[in-house]
Amino acid sequence: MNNYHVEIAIDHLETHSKLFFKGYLIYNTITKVKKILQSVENGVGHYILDMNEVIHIDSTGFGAFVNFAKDLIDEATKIVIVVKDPLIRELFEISQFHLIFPIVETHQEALQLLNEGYQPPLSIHEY
Amino acid sequence: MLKVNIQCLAHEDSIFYINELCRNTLELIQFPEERKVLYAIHEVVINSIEATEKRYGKNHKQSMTVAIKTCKEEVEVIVGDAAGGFEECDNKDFSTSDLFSERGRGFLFIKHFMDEVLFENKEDGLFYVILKKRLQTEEKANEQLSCRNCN
Repeated sequence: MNNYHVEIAIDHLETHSKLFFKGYLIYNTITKVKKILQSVENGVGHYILDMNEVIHIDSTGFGAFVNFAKDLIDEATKIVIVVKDPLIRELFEISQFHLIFPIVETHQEALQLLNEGYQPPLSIHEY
Repeated sequence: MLKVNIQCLAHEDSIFYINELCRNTLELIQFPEERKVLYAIHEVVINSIEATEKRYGKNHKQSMTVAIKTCKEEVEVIVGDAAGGFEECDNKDFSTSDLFSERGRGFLFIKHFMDEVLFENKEDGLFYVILKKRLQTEEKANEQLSCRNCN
């Protein structure tokens, strides 16, 4: 029995792709999360990863999410994470991932960062 | 003081019930940092379940326990299992976990959210993780803030 649900929706746009995460990214749903993330085809350009509908992400979900983001990011591909939840933002800060992926609260902020071509404090190689 | 003891199979299906029972308990006493405590409990619980499955296989009948003790100033949570614990639990350094590895990050979060994290390896193979979170009084918060400002 699994009382926890998860959904990941993907929207490939002209200049970037948006991924919407919804529900629980936790131990109970991790197999499904990994399966969906493995099936994501590389889009064109940059990525916005929206976590505003995430109810709970534990260390297993966080690991899968960060590894997915790490595999996408390179010199030419930028990633911005959208999340308002203070606890989830704190998880990124504890892990110091906010130094390589900008974390903002809205899509507008994310688009602005992508358009401006942000430079994170640390590259993936310096992390 | 309120004490709640949960005993259940150390299995993935138990996670929902443990999470809900712990959430209801902390809501009842209106503990201010409820989400952080619940996050830490969940992390310890999934570690216990994973360790038990690793030791006894997927179809085991081993149980685990979660005990919550609350008073005005503190919440104490003890999670126990029969998975044997760490070989050298006293020397386990979670601050140096590889942050890009998929696992090992859980205890980093736990240590960040809780005031105290202790491990007890019993001779009979029982292993306990003890979590403590003290209530942050306004006085203490002001003290910390003034210390930070001094630095």
